[in-house]
Order: sequence, then structure tokens, then C-alpha cells
Amino acid sequence: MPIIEVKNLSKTYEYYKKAPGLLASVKSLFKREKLFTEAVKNVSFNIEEGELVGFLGPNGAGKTTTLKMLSGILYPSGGECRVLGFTPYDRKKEYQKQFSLVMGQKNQLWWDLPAMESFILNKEIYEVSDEDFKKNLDELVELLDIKDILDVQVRKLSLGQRMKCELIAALLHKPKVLFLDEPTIGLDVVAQKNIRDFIKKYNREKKTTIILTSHYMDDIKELCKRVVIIDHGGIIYDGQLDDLIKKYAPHKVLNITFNENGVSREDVEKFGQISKFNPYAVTIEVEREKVKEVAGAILNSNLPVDDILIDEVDIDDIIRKIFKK
Amino acid sequence: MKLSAYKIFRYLRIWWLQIRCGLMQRMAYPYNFYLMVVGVFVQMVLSIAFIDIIFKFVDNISGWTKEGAMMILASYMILEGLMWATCSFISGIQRNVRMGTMDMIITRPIDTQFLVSVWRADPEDWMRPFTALIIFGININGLGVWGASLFFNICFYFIMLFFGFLILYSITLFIKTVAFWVIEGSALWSLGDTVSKLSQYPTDIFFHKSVKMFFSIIIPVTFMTTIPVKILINGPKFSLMFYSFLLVLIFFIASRKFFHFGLKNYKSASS
Repeated sequence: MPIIEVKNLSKTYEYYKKAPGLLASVKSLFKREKLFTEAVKNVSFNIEEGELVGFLGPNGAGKTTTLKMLSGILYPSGGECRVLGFTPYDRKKEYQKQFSLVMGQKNQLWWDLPAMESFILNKEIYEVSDEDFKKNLDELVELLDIKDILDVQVRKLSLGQRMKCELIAALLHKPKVLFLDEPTIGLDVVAQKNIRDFIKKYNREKKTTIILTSHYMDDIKELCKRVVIIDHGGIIYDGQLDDLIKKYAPHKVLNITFNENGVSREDVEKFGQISKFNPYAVTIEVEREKVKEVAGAILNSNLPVDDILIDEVDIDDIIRKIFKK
Repeated sequence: MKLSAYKIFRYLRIWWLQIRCGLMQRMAYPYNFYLMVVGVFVQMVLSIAFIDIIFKFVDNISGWTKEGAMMILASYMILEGLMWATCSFISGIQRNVRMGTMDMIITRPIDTQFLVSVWRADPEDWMRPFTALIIFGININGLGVWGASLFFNICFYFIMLFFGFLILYSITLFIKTVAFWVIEGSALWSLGDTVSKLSQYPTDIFFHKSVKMFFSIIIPVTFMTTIPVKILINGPKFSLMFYSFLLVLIFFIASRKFFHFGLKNYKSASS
């Protein structure tokens, strides 16, 4: 049975239109035009226990709104959802003890105090026993390697260190479901990798079900086998990441480098669609079924080939194309 | 029964941890802490001086002597001090609704109203009840009550003051809950503050009957400080005490229901 069930979930926000200018502001005191925006439209999906699913979409796609409905922060305008058998917006304590939400752009720790004080508070709120608290904390601190910063004021920590502390605060009570809303936003590449490695390891060892929203393709590529792409409130793809590549990129890419003799455009264009050209390095797109044959043909030709690489189309390009449609 | 005792203990422990964190947070910036304590103290001195100056010109106002007026002021300081020292976050509901920072509180497995009330506190405001007790001690002799009567009157006074605190808390919660709909609710803060400040004067100073009725039924400021001090001076009047208890029940339950109704309207904010 799926641990997360979402059926025709929708969320509509209302807002007021306001024209620029002082006169418009005065008018809006007496009469305002109410508008509606569908942030989430009839979204349906199921997630099994232990899955690590990536939610991908541009800004305003509905990713965070979906997570907030699954966390019980927002009431849906339509449809239904169940997580661990609970209806999230009933806000039952039994449900709230079993999930956690980490938002990359919001802070739950006491800003002027060491993270440890927030952990102690969370321990009481989530009714974690002294023994479990010590065990979980030691384990998480070791995994994230932050033993030295537990007694440092949160406001003095780097963004990466703070995110690690946020994750610990969220995982002390060993939730079965974890919602991560852009956990690597603003982090440098090293910090991003550390967080990703931790999430991957934690999911593998604890079988925690994780939904991760992100703008960074590296997060999705490294962590998620399954990806849900949302745009304008609706799901446009829900499936394996590999299948996404095959579906939206019927081509593979050949990166060929040539020696000092170089080549002309005419020499290469007969083998496939040229996407990048210079006389010493060319990138061509070739249909998947024909890539081996074409690679062989290039190598057997009299072109001065130094190196040839067969690669997938960059997933960033695929996603860009999907969103442009 | 065992479960309820455990629950009460758990909530008290969380409340203590919040107060502790609030205190540590303030003391992380010592100069600011000292300044805030001094600021609160100066505010109270000015309020005391104001009453003192008025009674240099009159012997009583609507039957209230200087000692009685000082007791009202002290009672107000206790209520105000407890509100800010233990549940100041309730005053920040509108800011948290507007900024979307209520998200993290709503998802916690604990009563949301409780957590919203105690999430942050202003420890420097413990100066208020502390100073109030000094005023209490100085002016008690001037009330004309002695011996065993005084002891019992003091006990009933503190019970009534506790009821007054619950009424003030409930009215504040009512007002702040409107923020779930209006979002930008800085006016709500002023409104709440006004209601609170009204309780530092005896409501007998309002001559018009309808005004007195308003402050006894609609916004029962009378029962926050005026009635408790009257009981301190004149002894318990059980009809008044029962009515006060009834008001507590009505306002507390209604404000709680209204808060949870407002919570359903919470729309968070963009991340």
C-alpha cells in the first residue's frame, strides 16, 4: 500500500489585483478586483515506502504548495491526499510525529542560540526518550560531521552548517516521511554534495520516504530514480528519470575531438545533426538506435579522430525543453 | 488520569524550555538586555508617577483612593508582565501570518494554540510583576483591611487576578486571530494594546452606564483589574466571582474556537 496517496489534489489561491500608482491605491481601499490562481491542478500520484522522489519544476509550478498540503499546513481546494493513512490537514498529532518538513529558505532553529538548544526543545515536543535522543543525535552528528559546531550560535554558522543542523532537528524523532523543500538552495558545491550524500545514505539505511523539491538538476540526478515534473500546477511527467531521458531525448550525443589537422563542417554533418562545431571539437546528435553505427562509421572514416565519447543529452537541456513547450 | 498528568507535565516542561531559551537569547546580548530591563522599569516608574501626581490634587476619583488606584496599577502590571513574559508570541501572530513563519509551528505535534502562545517570550518583562509586588506591599496598609480578612482577601484577589489574566489572554487571542484574514494586522497590535492599557484605570471613572456595561460584558476590562482590587479591599463577593469565572469560560472557549477557525484559513507565504 502506498505511503503517500494523492488524488486530484488542487489548490487555488485568491489575490487582489492592484494597478500601480497612488490613485489606484486609493481606489483599492474601496473596491478591489479579486483574482484566482490555480497553484495546483488535479495532481495525482502515489509514493511507496522508502522511495526518494524528486519534484522538479520552475518557480511557481506548485511544488512547495503540494508539499505544504502534504504537511497539513494548507487545506486543499479540491481532491484528497493521505500520508501514512492520515489526512494531513486534520493535523492529528499522531501524524505530525511521523513526518518532518525542512524548508531550505525557512529556519526552525533559535537564531541566537546554539543548535543544541533547539534540539533539546524538539526532543520534548516530539516526545523522544533520553536514550533515543542521544543515540539519534550521535548518529546524525557523525553522519553530518558537525560535532564541533553544536555549541556555536546558529547565526554564526555558514549556510551549509545551518542546513545540516536543520536536518538534524528534523530527523531526531526518526520520521517515516521527510519533505525537503529546496534543501540545497544557496549552498556551495561542496556543501551541496555533503547534503546529497547524507540524504542518499539516510534514505538507504532508514528507508525513510522522501520527497525532495529542487531547482538543481544535480540533486535530482544524484538522488532520485523517480521524478515528478510539475509545471503550472499540473504534473507533466511522473516516472523514472531514465525513462524521462529516453522519452524526451530520442537522441544521444557524440562528442568528437580531432587532432591538429581539424575538419570542416561538411566532413561531419553527414553523420548527424551538429549542435556544436569547431574544427577540433564537434558535438553531434544521433538517433539512439543508430549511435553505435554512426560512431563506428566516424572511426572508420578518414577523419583525424583523436577521441570520441557517447553521452546522453544533458538532462538540464531536456528539462528546459519541457518547460519551454 | 495518569495520561492527563503526564500531558500537563509535558506542556509545563515545554513551556519552561521556551522561557529558558528566551532568557538565554536575551542574555546573549547583555547590553540590550540591560537596556530593555531599564526601559521597562522607567515605563513603570512613569505610570506610578502619573497616579501619584493626580492624587496630589484630589483625594479620590469615583470613590477610589490613591492606594486603591495604585493597586489597580499594580494589578495591570502583573497582568501585562505575565502576558509579555510568558506568551508574548501571541502578540506577533500577525507578523508570523504575514511572513509565513507559522508553518513550522503548525506542523509540530503539540497544541498549536499553546505553542503559538509560548513560542517566544520577553523575559525582561518579569520586571513588571516584580515591581507590582513592591507597589502591592507599599500600598496594602492603606486599604484599611487587616488581619485574617486581609489574608483571605489577598487569596481571593489573586484568584480573580488569574481570571483577569485569562480574560486578557482570550481577548488578545481573539483580536490577533483576525490576522489570518487581514494578513497585515499591525492595527490589531494597537487594538490589543489599547484593551490592555484600559485595565490600568478603575472602570468606575467612566460615568456613562453604557460604557460601564460595555467594559463589563463585551470587553470585560472591569474584571481584569477593577473587580479583583475591589475584592481585595471589600472582601469576596461570590456572585461577582462566579460571573468572572463564567466570563473566563466563555471568552477562553470562544477565543480558542475562533483561533482554530482562523488557523484553517492560514495560507502560508511564498518561500
